[in-house]
Amino acid sequence: MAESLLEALKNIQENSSVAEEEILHCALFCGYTPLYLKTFFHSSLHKRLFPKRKIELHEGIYGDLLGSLMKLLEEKINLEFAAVLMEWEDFDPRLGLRSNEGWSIHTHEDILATLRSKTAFFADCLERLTEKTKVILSLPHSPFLPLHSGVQKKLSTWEWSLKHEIYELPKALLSLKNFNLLNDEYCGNHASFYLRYCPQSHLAYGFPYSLDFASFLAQTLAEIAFPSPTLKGIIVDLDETLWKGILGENGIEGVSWDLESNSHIHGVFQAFLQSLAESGILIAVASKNNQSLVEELFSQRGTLLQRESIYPLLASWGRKSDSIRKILDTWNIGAADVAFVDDSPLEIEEVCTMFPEIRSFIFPSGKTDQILVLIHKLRNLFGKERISNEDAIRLQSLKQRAKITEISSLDEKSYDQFLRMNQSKIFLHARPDDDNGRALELINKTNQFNMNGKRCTENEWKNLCNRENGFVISASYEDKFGPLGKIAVMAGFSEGRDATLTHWVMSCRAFGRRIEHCMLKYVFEKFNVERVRLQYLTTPRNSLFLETVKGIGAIHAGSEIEITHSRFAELCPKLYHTVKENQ
Amino acid sequence: MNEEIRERLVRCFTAVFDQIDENQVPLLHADTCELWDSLANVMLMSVIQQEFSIDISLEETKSLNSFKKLMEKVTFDGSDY
Repeated sequence: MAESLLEALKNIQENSSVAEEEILHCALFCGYTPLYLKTFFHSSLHKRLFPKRKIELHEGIYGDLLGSLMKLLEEKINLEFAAVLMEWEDFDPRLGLRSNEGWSIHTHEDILATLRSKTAFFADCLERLTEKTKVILSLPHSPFLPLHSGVQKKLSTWEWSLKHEIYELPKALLSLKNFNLLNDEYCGNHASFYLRYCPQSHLAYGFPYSLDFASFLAQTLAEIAFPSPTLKGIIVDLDETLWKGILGENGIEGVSWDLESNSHIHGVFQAFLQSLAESGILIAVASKNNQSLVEELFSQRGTLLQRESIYPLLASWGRKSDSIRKILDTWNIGAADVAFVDDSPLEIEEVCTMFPEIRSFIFPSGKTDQILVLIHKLRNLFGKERISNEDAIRLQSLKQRAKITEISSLDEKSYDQFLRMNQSKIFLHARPDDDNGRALELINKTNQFNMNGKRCTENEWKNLCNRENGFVISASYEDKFGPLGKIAVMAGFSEGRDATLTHWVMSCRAFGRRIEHCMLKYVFEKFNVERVRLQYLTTPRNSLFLETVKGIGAIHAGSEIEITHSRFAELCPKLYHTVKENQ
Repeated sequence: MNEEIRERLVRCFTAVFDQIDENQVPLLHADTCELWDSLANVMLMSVIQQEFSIDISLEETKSLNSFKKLMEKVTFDGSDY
């Protein structure tokens, strides 16, 4: 929901008392007065940060976007990101409403030439800026003025040439890791060009956007600057959701998801879910149905969502919330990381009562347009910029975990024997800043085995990796059941006989393999320390962390908790892993 | 009811002029307040328009240069009342 200006101002005031050493430097560069956009943006950034940090928002010079960007390139500020917002007049003032140079058609060629040279400068500047920081580019949102001699419904060669130059500008930049382009179609879903633009405000104050659009734009830019972790899994119903019809009543051949039966949109939903599965998102089914009939359908009919991509598939006549609980237990993740889609409002309500944190969506069966809107919404919740190796093996390792959970419920001796035979290998990496972002992803996504819930920006992570006396260790794991990929990260620093951990997270897929024990043992031995202090903070979801470290000797010491080497040695169970160290 | 409007208006002022104590707000006048510059004025008018769902024209913004005058404006125009 859009934030009001008053709420945004109050939010900024409430966050202004944070300690100075926590300052994050961010840039909002545009050729106009940023006015409310700056306020909304500042507030939106605060809302996305945990723990709270003070934000210093750097601005450019009014009316000179290119000059401001060139100056920014020379400054030695450690920027988190630079949001660059272009409008028509940044390419040539004659293209803006505030120009008083007339609309002579004789100037068209000159305007095009100026714009061409400006776009080349901008492209060069932005490319250099991506070498310093993350860049978010927003192209013009104000409507193109009718400067041409033709009619608006027919695009003139001149207007096309101008627009083509501007839309070509980011083309070469899009492949750069640090470059992000705001999708105009996404903005169009919120407001047309005419609702984005406010000519009164543009002329009176030099600020071109409506209040509502400024709020939306600020929020969207902040989401790109500091993205939310994506959800981890989706649970879907079957009848009137994955397919049209009721399996129990219509039979295997009586349900459909194709064009001929006018139910193709259900097939689109299946295809969407399959694409999510391929990007490492967990897919489960919770349906009031007959399990064997459902399995028969999947084996007989060619569903676009493949049966192997669904884990687990629970069809029963019991309460839906019971199925959801079983699925969450199998996945070992919290309800807050999961979306639930069902066509029945009653089922949604029952599940939401039991799991208030779950993101639930009614599948609007029979309403094609609304189903497409739902798919867009879900895509935004699960969107990933890159697919990692861990994404590719997540489902497989989760299925292995189910076997291990079964074994771990055995007595201690049998479990110990199982671990001894497990042929487990741990690879410890001391330079996780070159791992394609996986270590940072773990820091920012993990909830249960997370020492304090603290999230990091990319810049903070780089600083952490390069801190004096600091260390960042990530762990990859494999055993006879297969690899789990990179599943744990710890960061901290050592001073004399003490080491302090500032971050420590481990993926829920890796529980029960004594990986945390190995990591701690490594810290004691590698840095030759007597005591490891943990900067622990209670979060709503990290009770498992405290429980685990208490089991290996952690005790409260003031606001922190600590583990001594002697106590750890006394309580640590036998470790059978082969540990390999990669520098 | 006026007291409630007054509190909401004070809240708008303290949001824009965060260094001014809320007890001082009812005495504020653009001519005597250094912080009340043209940029702050745009912000203040926008906050008030949004908070009270009223329209303030560009011409009006020049004359609405004190807490007292703005109080009269929102009391008279406020759509909730």
